[in-house]
Amino acid sequence: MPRTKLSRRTVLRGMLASGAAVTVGLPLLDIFCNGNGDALADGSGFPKRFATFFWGNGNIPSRWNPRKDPTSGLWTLAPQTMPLAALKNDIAFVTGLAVKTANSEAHTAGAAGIFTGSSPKIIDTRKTFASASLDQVIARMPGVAVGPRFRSIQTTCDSTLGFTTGAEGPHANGGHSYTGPDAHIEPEFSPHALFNRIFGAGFALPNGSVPTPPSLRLRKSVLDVVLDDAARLRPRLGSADRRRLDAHLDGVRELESQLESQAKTPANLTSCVYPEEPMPDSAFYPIEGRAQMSAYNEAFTKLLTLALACDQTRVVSHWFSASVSRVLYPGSPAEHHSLTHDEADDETETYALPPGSPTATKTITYQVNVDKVVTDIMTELAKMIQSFKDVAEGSETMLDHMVLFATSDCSLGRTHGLSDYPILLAGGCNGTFKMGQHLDLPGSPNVSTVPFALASAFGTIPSWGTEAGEVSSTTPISGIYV
Amino acid sequence: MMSSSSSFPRWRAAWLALALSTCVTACVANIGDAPSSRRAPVEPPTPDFNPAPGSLALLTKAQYRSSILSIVGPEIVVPTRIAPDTRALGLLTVGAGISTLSDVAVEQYENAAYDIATQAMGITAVRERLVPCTPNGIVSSECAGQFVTQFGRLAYRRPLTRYEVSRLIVIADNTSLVLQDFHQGLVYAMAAMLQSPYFLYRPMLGVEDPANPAQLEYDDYELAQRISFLIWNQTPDATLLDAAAAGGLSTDEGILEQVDRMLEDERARDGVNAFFADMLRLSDLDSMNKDPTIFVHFSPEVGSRARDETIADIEHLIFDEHGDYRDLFTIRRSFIDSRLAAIYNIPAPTLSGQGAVEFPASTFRRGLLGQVSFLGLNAHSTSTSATLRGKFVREVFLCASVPPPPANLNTSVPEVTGDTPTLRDRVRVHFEVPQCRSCHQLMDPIGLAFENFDGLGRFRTTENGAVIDASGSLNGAFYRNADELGQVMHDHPDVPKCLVRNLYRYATGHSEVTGETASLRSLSAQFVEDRYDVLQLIRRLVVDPGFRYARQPDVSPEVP
Repeated sequence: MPRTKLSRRTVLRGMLASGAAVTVGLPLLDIFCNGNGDALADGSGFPKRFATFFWGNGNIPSRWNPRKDPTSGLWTLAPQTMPLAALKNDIAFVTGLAVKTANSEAHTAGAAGIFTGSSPKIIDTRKTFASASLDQVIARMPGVAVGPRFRSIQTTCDSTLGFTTGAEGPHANGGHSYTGPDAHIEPEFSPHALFNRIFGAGFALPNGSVPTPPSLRLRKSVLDVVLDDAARLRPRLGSADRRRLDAHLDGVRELESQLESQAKTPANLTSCVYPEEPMPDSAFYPIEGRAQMSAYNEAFTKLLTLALACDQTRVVSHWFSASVSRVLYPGSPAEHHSLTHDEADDETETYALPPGSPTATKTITYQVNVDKVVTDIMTELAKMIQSFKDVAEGSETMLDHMVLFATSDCSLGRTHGLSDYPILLAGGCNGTFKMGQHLDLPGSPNVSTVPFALASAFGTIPSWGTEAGEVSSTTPISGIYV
Repeated sequence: MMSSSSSFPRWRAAWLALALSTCVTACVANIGDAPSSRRAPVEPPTPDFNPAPGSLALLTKAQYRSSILSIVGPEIVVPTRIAPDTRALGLLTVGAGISTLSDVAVEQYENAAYDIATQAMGITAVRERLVPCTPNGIVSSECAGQFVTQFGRLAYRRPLTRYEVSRLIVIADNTSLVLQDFHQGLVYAMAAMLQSPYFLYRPMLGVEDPANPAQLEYDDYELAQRISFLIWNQTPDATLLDAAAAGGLSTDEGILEQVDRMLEDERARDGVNAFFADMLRLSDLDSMNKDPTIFVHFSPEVGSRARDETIADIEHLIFDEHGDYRDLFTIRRSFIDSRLAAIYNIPAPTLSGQGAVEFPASTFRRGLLGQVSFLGLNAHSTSTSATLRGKFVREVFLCASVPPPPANLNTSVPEVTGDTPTLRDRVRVHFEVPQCRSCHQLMDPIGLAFENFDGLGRFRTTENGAVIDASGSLNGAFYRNADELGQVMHDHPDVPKCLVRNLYRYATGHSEVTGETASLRSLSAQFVEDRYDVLQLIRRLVVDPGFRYARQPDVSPEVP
């Protein structure tokens, strides 16, 4: 069990920020730690949020992992993460961990390993997850699920938007949010559609009046008919189909709770403003075959920032690019996935090692175009973190009240490596995690310790993962806590 | 349902062998042959017929769309934001039988249901077609009941029970009263039906077979929708439902009477095209991307034009010529538009739309494997790929399974140099490393036959100044180029067998179980007798026991 440590100063800051210090006594601490949404309506605290930032095809560890002086403990950012320089005190690297489940399926084993702690599930040649992903586990924890309108929001900049899609329309590539075994959530790929979903009908600004439309109750009665039909169908099904139908019904009940939350008075969050309407989808179409990942990412970043600031959701998962992403980045000679496999190590870098090292310098070789793509992705990650940080919440920022988990589907893309896995955290989550550090762990501990620690920051769970991926302690990474 | 008992363990075994690199023949072809094997296959004895259990297939996006257009009206703009299709065993229809919905998808289906219902009641022509009566007030249970009964039969693909009708009338009446609008009541009742699992899924559950209590048979309505989705890729029409109601689908003659009517209908072309689009993964063409600085003839429309070409060729052969399926690998005639003509470097047959052309034999372009839908789709955005092309041929036309590359392996291939100007030179490494060879020998030799076509499908004779060698052998037959490979594919005994297997999986929505081996063998034999006529194959399939019977579903005790 991890402890959620709060310094006395943090508590006081939070209390002052909430304007409730005088009237609220000790129980505030509980609100603060558990992110209990019920307390929000009267402005007595800020919700605690969880964000995922994922990119496909891994990194080049020797160019991504921070470089550390083992004697002094001082660390510097490596070239691929240089775009995060301005945020160095708001982020933490945890390196040296390994996915312990078998590397049976290139890319999918890494994604399933990091987000579920289990091996992927293969059904009739289709690769999928065997259990709910980290974001969905957190989204269903009692302290998180109560309150916001949407249990979670998923987005991606990797889609078929802008291609001549047929009558069935465009779709997202990838995304690793699963509500349960094989229950994949397609991430939203249209900024405009996301805007309408969150900030269209059904959204109310803080202190805005929400006349409850009669349609809410009528829609609920319609859902009762759906549940009733399902209840009559279910006994005739085999076990596997019953599980599929149950997942569907879980979605129906989630809809019911959305309808209920729309009838509630919105929370008083001063940083919540109505977002500007995003550009139409056509603005994000690829130009000359090159995806506009940066503009796309910026549009989603704005919307996700306000979705969190307005407490419309407390869990956002941004699947920036897909696993095995085939995005053709501006200036790149081939699509990302092909590059990672086909490009040779034709570039060298020599950098100085700290005094006292066996050699004065170290020389590495790497794939220069892959390197550039990963660096560009880190630029986009930095923009998202900065955007969360730009939201003032009391005397702190929204980033202080959340934790963002950034990772990929492998370490070295070329070999689909599972050791030295890329892990970056941003935001201390109300003083739980220690930012501004590089935790480099010897002996390749189980990477599941990180999702276990993250999930435990939002609720109580006994363990994380299965078989070789299972952990029930965060001891190897205790340094990530404040 | 997903009793693909055979494929998974074998697959795992293949993996293990790869991982240990103790066995270089880890890649097993399902139907046929390792390239070197010339032994006549020994047919194991056929196990007794024992069908797969029933299924609960989600409508694919295409089926959702065609069903809405059919039961609500062609005027409707069908929302596309619903659960995305997933592919299993190479088919979206098999994926639909195992996919699980997320809460976001459920929300999307709700939005789509109200969108469609609101459109339906807002368009006079649609409303008048769907509502067979005049309400006698803001609340009119009588008229709402007539609407629910009539529309419900089409939506649930069976008559509604009295209980179901009464629940929907309550929704309609209550809504009409609250919103003070009769038709708003119908919007909500319709939205309920369009969100019901009875509409969104195709429950194929079966009832006890009186002739053989150990197994189940699909009831007349289930059989009606099975036939309808196979032939039209949409929900049954009123005539088929009437036939089901009258017991007309309980005999082979009755089934074939309806099937022949449906095959004559224009919708059969859409339905059969949908099967081939699924098998050939043509929907992937929608997102085909090429670097336009390298492929100057590429534009975002090329993918959909390429799909149109392939579909037109297949449809013409099957419906207009009642031709031999195998000829799809050898025909030189095709139907193309001006953009494809530019890629194929031949005069455009017509200024707008598609026109017939004959490919010159000098360019080795022949059959489906000479088209952009295959050549462009199975390539990278900046180059060709012998591996992707070979994998597609193996998997789609020969029904072989090729595992993904093992992890932790350096996969980079040499760069272009004076010594390695062509792709054949560069992928030689795949044959030198044992871990690579076991699988790549199944793919690369076939794929290299298409090196005379660049990453988009344009003909070329050299790569980086070196003459391309496109020769190879498959199943013991030598070929010098893609033109000759087309003939080898035409004559390959696994090609028709694989089509039968794909159509069987498509029609039944599952991976065949051991007890269905007899069905597959018999259909394959009949396909030969019928001179590889696909429409005859469909007629044989609809009366095959594997299409009509199920076994009891597997139910494990539930923990409360």
